[in-house]
Amino acid sequence: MLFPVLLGVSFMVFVLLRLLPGDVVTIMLGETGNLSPEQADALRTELGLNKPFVVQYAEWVWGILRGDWGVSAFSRQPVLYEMLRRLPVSAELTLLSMLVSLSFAIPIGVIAAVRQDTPIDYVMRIMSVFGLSLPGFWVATMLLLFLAMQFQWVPPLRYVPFIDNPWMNIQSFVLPSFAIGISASASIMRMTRATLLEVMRQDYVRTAWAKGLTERAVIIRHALKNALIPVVTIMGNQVGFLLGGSVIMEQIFTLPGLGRLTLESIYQRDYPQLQGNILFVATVFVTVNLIVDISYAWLDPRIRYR
Amino acid sequence: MQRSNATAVLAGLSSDRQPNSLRNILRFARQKPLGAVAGIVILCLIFVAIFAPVLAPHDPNEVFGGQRLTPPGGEFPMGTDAVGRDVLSRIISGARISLWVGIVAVGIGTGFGALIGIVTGYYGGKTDAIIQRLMDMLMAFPALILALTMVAALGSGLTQVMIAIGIVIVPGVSRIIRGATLSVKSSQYIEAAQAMGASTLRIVLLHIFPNVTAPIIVIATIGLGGAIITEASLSFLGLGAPPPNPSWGGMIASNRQFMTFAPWVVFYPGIAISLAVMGFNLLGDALRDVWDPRLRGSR
Repeated sequence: MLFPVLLGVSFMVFVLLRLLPGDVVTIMLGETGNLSPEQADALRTELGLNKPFVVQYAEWVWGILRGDWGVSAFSRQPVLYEMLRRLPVSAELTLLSMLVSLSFAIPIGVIAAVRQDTPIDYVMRIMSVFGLSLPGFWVATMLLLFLAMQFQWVPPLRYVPFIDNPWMNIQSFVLPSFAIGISASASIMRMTRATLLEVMRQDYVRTAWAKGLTERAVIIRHALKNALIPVVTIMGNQVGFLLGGSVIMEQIFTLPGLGRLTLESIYQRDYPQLQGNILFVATVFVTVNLIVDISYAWLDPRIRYR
Repeated sequence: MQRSNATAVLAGLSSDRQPNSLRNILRFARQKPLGAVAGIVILCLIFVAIFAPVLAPHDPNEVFGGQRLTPPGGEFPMGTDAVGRDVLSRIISGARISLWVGIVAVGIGTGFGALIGIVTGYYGGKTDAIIQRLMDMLMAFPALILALTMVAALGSGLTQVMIAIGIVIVPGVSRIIRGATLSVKSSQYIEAAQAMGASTLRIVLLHIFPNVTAPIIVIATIGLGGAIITEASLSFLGLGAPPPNPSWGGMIASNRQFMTFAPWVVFYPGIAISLAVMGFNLLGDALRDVWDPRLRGSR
């Protein structure tokens, strides 16, 4: 089931990029000075840009299956290597963002559901509208501005891995995680509130109340677990999206992640890298969604015990 | 005397006096005040966009050489940017671009998406399966990445941005409209129409389409918010409307480096984007709540 979709995706990626105006060689000519037409042609042949379309595609797919994703036309490094080098950064950003988002969204969503139509509920609804409407890059920019002007602090410009220097590392990630987390929390907040409201109307919850359980026990031990199942779906969606796609945040905070790699390969017209990136991102996205779908079936006891 | 006065008053208030649509709008405003406010904000936005050349105090591209990065006040209510252009005028003209891109992109997206959704929903079978697979493949890309790739492939320029955003919207729309079509298709009046020998075109146009309009409008409205943010993001990354077009996202990007001593240049465009998107989101939410709460999916 996964494979045909990915195959189609790879084909789509391949086709899309062949529409790119100009090719890598022209860009490289601009960067490194002049190459004679013969050298340019030789470069083209070396990069395989002269072969017919279908052959190029077939060779590429065959390479992918064998683990050879090609070589970046810009950096001359293997495509897979460049991606794997950036993956930890995107993974860390995704992890921290989801942490921020969840620790924000779920408590507030729960409170909004439990205290429905009170001021807290309205505050939550306003917050979620803000989260969905405010452009992420603007929020991040405003945060940077505020911190720079009020506290004269800017996050470190160079990325250091967590292992080397945890404190600096966290400093680099704290702002983008917050910016992403706040936007991401909007939909989770809403969903939590909506599902919890629904769940609380169920009979088994009414039984729990009737048994005389405290509010905390009813909500956390009984209602919440079931209410969170659809939320897991959204979370999975977001994780898949963030892992490959937080292009803007990585650009603003100069984090060398997958999104930034995609952006740079677009600027540089680096076919092979871009192809590999997009295929990778799409694969991650699809795989994460698949895992979420499967786990959904497992998390819902009604399906599990069938 | 009293009674006939009352009758006269009642006659004046009779619903035959007010057109149906106006009544519906007023009822909507009463039920969903937030949506009504959002609607007013959107109307103001449209007004500003249409009358931009008249409303803007200066020409948005006019450079005031000696007055770069002046703070808000006096001649420049929102200050000037790094090159010396009036921020307010650029924001007003930017409304035009954002709205125009949004409307066309969403038009393309919902148009094709609805078409695909209705056709696959109604016909079902092999075409349905194949086309849905295709839509699944399109949805395998995170939205921004897809938009980026399309813009990279098609080149930068307003039309390309519109097409790119439109294509991003199509799969999601087709999925929802297909669902709506499926639920309408199983209605008895469709069965009756088919039994009476109505042609497929007639059934689709006269019966299915009017019942699917509500989700389409809701999706389109919320989609407009998303389209405006996507366009702003693309412009921010330098892949959207080419300069010197006064795009809100572009304004933030090009003036970012000066923001510590000229915060107004990045502040106001962002407010503009937020207001516009919020307006569309709230309006769409309100419409959806009124028409079909079932559409409340994962949002």
